[in-house]
Amino acid sequence: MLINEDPVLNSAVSTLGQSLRETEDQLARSMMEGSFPPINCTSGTNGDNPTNISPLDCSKAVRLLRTANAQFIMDMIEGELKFGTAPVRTAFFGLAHTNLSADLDQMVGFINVANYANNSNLLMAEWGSIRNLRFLLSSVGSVSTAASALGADVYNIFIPGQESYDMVDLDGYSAQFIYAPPEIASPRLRLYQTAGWKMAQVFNTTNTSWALNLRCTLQVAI
Amino acid sequence: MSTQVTSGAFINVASTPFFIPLQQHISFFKLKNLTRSGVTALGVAGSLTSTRIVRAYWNPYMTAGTAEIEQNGTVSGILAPLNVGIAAINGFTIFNAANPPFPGPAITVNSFTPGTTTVWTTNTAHGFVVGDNVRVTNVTSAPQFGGLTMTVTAVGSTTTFTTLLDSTGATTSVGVVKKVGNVNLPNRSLFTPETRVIAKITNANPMVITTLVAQNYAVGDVVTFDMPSAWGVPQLTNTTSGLPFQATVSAVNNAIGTQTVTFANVDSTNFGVFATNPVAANSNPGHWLLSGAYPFSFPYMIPQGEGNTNQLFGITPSPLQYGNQNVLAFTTDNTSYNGILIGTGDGTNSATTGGIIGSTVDAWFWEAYSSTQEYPQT
Repeated sequence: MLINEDPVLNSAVSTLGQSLRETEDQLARSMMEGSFPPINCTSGTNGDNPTNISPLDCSKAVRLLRTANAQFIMDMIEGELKFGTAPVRTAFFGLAHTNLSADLDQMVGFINVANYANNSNLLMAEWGSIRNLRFLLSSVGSVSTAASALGADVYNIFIPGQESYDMVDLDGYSAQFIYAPPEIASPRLRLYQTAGWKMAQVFNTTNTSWALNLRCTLQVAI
Repeated sequence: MSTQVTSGAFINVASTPFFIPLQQHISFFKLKNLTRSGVTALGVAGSLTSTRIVRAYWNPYMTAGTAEIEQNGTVSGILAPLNVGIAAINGFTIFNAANPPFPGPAITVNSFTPGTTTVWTTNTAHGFVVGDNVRVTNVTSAPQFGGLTMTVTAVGSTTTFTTLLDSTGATTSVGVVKKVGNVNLPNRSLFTPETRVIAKITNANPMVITTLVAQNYAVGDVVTFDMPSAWGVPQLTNTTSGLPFQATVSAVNNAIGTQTVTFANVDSTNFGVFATNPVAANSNPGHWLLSGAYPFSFPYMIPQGEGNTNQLFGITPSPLQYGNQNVLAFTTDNTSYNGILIGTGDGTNSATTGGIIGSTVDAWFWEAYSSTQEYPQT
């Protein structure tokens, strides 16, 4: 039987690339957990502390950041003559866990990305926007287990403004993909090749007034 | 196939858990108390002692926090028999910084005694030791405490423990408490130090801040503050310039039960009194807010960067905004470790007061095994 397999290395490169970026996400998440100023959602209706997320909590978070002169990340998306679409305000990004998607959908005034007036230049992780926040959701978003007043999981929504954090990498040691052909990886019998990545970089908060950790619980049970 | 063995020795601090950072996967861990076996080592004189755990073992198939143990029987001359058993509490806990084994099991709180420190009473033996970080939730009649994480500063009995929460004026309540960490373990966020909830702020020169969880700040560190308006200290929040209100740590007392940070260049004499809420009924000056303020955000101290202690001496304005500091050195200090935490108690396998490390200062020898291939049979 002739087996014609997809190029293994091509597949591995794709997987390793995802591994690298998810690792970077987790490192950035941990940095934000450690140093972004936390505020609780208090305007939701689930009776917990923090409460579930509400439009007013989003407004309060944006107000805090703007009063501290934090700069928005994303430009406005102007309205267009398309049915079912709406303009999107200039916005900060809210970096959160995918479990929040249902609660976001429940908020009055939430605009899913499908309803943006212009959907060019969207990130794959973007879920939608409300007030001056656009939400990027990830399965490695931050969750504080059983940390609310009623013992529920607390979801940390990180909202960085421009220049609120940065990334430092050692000279010459940003992410590198390293391929070793069989002549190097197994020189005697040349049986296998290796591929991998490495990096030496770290994320760092530069101004804690320009970033927030908006904490909330869920209203829509998982 | 091979097996990697790492070994080492240490001297414990009395009644304090000991954390051994290890890079490797731990397939099997073995610990010997040399001192209580009668062996002199590391400068600690041997003292063969009855009813003390002298051997302890752990593997990943066991429950976290337990240990298979061998405990001395009654000493007769220079020998003691060994009894085999299980340490059900305060045994070994494997710690993976990316996936910590917390929170622990829920323990019912029967009540608490309001005061400048708070004594919590549980329904069953809590198994906590001084230095454990615990979180209370579902505090029905005092919801303002729900979600707070605090360091255990004293253990009164198997069912009582104390934290630095100033609960003066609160109504006692039932609730739930869970262990969420220990001050000897690396930070959950992997970076040091973390944000800390503020328990108290003095109105004095210098300003002294007490934290609910033992902190790990150091002199020269620069912090900012997250002080919601509900707490009545607007002077610690700069909401107009975009630059954070920064203060440089001039002294720290990291001792459990003290947990203070001093700021020599901040005179808080005329600041608002902590927990003075705009709504008089919720206000509880100098203590923790009352239940009427629920829900609210907690007051935090936020790590900003490693400062230059020159800021502490006669420089105006004080504190300096964006002083000569290396903001890259503080929150980038990754302290994540994997490893194993050795629990503490009375040095026996008592189901209520037990723990491997006891109240004595002993010399220990340990071995950690990493198998390159494992064959778990289920």
